[in-house]
Amino acid sequence: MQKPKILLVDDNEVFQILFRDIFWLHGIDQKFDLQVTDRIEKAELIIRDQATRPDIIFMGLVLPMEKDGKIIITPEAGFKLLDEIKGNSEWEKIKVIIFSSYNDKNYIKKAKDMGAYMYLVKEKNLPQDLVQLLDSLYAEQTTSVA
Amino acid sequence: MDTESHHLSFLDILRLSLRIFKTKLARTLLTILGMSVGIGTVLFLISLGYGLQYILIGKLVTTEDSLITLEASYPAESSLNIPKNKIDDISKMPGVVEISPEAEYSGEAKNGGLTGLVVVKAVNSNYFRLSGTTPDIGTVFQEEEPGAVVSNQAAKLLNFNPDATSLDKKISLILTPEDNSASSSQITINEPLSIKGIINDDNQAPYMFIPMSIVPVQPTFFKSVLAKAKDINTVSSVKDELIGQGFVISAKIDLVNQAQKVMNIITTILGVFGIAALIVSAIGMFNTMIVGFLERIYEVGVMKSLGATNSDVKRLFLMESFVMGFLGGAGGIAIGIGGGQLMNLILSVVSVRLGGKPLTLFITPIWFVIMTLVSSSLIGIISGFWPARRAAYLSPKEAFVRK
Amino acid sequence: MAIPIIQLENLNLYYDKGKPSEVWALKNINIEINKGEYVAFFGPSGCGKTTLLYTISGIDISKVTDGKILINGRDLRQFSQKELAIFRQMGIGIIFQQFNLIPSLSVLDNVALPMAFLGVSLDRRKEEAANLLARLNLTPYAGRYPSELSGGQQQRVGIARALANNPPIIVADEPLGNLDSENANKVLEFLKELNEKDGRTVIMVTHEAWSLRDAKRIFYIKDGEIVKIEEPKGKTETAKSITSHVMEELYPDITSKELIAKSLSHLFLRGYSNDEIKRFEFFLVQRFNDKLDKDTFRAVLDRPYKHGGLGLWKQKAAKIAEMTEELIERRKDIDRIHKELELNLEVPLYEEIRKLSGWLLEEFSGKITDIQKIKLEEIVSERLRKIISSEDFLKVLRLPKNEFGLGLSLRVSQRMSDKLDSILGDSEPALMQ
Repeated sequence: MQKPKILLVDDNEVFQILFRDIFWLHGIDQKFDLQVTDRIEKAELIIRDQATRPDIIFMGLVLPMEKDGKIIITPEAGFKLLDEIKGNSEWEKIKVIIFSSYNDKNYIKKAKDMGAYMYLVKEKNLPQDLVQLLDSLYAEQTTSVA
Repeated sequence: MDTESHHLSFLDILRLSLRIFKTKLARTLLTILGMSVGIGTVLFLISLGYGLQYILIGKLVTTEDSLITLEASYPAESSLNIPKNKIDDISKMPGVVEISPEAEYSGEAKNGGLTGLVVVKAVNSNYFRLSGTTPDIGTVFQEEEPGAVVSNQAAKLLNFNPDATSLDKKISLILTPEDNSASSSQITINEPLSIKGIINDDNQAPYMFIPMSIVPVQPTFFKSVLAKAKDINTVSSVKDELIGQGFVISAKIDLVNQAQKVMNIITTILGVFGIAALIVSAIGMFNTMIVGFLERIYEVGVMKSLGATNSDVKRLFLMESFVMGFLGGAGGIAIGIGGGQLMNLILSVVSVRLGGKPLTLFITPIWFVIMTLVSSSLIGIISGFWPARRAAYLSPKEAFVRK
Repeated sequence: MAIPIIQLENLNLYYDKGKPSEVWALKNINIEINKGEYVAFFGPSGCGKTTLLYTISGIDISKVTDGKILINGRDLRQFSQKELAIFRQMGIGIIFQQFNLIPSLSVLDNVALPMAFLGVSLDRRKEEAANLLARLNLTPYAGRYPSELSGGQQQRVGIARALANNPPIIVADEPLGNLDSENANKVLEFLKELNEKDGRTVIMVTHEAWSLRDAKRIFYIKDGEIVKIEEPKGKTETAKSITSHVMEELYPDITSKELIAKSLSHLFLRGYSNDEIKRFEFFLVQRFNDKLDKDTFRAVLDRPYKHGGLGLWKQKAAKIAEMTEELIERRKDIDRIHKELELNLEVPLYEEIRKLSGWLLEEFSGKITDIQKIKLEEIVSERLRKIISSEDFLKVLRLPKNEFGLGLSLRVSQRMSDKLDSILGDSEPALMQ
């Protein structure tokens, strides 16, 4: 059976290492296939391709985005990607978990309203919290019919 | 993207660095105190310098306009007077916005039966503003209200008390022009003038100012003329122009510049002392940081084995020294300004007791305060550089394996 | 079959490579440790077990010259500084012999510290740290400082701290060396719990054989090499048999008397330095071989270390001498002696000093600073080892604080000194310089 796929979209290099290392250290890489990218444009391509399409996406909100020919870093990027995913009939089933540094009530509400599965604040989560979350996500994923 | 996350946060570094007040209170306080006293002393002295400068220039520059006004006259030896057309030319010069000519007479002043010889200067009312002449008692005369502004010597000469009781008393005048014309025709001022103001001036022969408008025969030759330049930058070009025309120029601005030069020298010397004080406190700070580092090699090792990165450890040391430097500067500012204000208070009380005005001798400009704070913080950070680097490169193991 | 969580392949490590002082500390080490195992590295001091431990922990891998350090298949030697720091934050929890708590932070802050390095918020850290302290039964001490805690309590704080970021691997470097019997057993129980209940991989480094009882595999290390790997068959094997096993492997030419001396020296002198333990071994063997008679042996135990003896205080010397005689006169056999020493572990020197200092401070009702406390422990230690005499002890108690004394009044100092003397019981002046 193929392992369920997780995609991480985050532009903070240290966080990318941290996230990957949790999979590595706690053997979660036996449960999920992990892919990591720093741009929403690249994420889009990964989602588009059925072979690489993730079942679960962890993403930050404030990410780089190309706008009017320039690259800006804005929460718009995260919301844009979320919107795209939830607006597409083939992709809307993907569980999107916002994993952001920003503990902003408005962001949280907006994300939930747009269909995000969860909104997690980075500084409130320890490695063990993440491990627990991934374990329960795995249980959900493998009991439900894909 | 925020590089702050997943590292030791700024707040945590600050909290960790505040432990120096818990564990090494005496040493920390002494280091900060050393810096504060040094900086405070320098601040105190520089405030003194600034205060003196302020007072000095304040005395020189009594009105705004007097700073950009020149007084032009022919050299004294020549005994030449300025003809009217020359005055008009001057008033038409491009850099000149306003003029005030002065005509001089010998005057016979009468107060009742008493007669005295005074130098009479006939001027327009704008003369006072342009020259910065302000009476010590009373005011100047206006065009609508003719009167006289006399020197205290002149007042005494005519048996007037050189104080407020003599205001509005009347003087009769007969003028004799001092020009080259052979006619010694006297000019009588019809209406006696009331004293509007008294100038304390013991350095000159008795004189008085009267409005030019009340002289029945308008003067055609003038002793000197005041010319106000358009702005402070135009002053020197006007001055050069007038010198080229053979005039002798006296300008307040030259005095001010000279005074400022002297003050700058004094301030520079004080500044050197200041830098010396900062260097001494920097040395004290270096010492504290180095000693602190040697004692903390163990702690750094433990932290690194728990996962602190090199930059975490570096920032910890830099924050500690920054805090000390900042507080040293703040303390110095408190001492310096506090001391200055205290002196101001004492001096004011004393000078008011002696009949004068309150005295503000110590003035600290805001930019200087900010600069002090910034430099003390910088010194703090710099003195933390060496231990921060050394700590950053310690391997976790070599640091805590101890005998 | 999953790959081993830790795999060392042909690992070689040198200290001061290329210099005259070069030491080949780890020689071609090959080890595989599986996830969820409880293993021990056992060997005499200086054999390289600690170096091996720190290498696995990513603490000092710069001196590794060849080989691989594979954690779940990834080689630590290929990691950047950043990646190594993150590994140390999340992958390994270390428990130290000296506890290594930060003295200027409270117990709670100490436990929370590893989480701060991950950038976790203050309230989340405090919450998790409180949970960990509760698990280790330390909740009442959360606000205290390490200096206010006993050795056993400090070590438990160390364990709580090691668990902060939920590492899958726990590494313990001689965790019991400074603990008395009760606390040592508690800590051992905790380590077992971490392994059996949490499923963590536990590696313990030790030179005290009795502490191996929960380990499923024991790696015997000598001179930087693994000489044997053993899987003890459960409770039937006592520490003594493990030890003799070991000694025979490590020291093939050893006589049985030397074997006994080696196995006993660590038990008698817990918390003493390696030099002191070696010296004791030497004299014990001499006594076993009858090269020293009973009284001379006793005298050696008493004589200050500086003068070639062991400088033990009266009770300790008496106890050791008594047990030695029991062995020699065959009143008790070696197994029995071992059992007695294991069930009632000798209080390690560190703990003995702390207890005595605390007991002496009962005479003093005022406030005592940390520096004074440390000074007191220092002179109690010197007094126990006969480095200073009773008079010297009294003198330092009375010396003013700015002259590095304790600044206590004559009355209090006299009382404390007398109290200590009553325990130590010797009236002979120590021989100085």
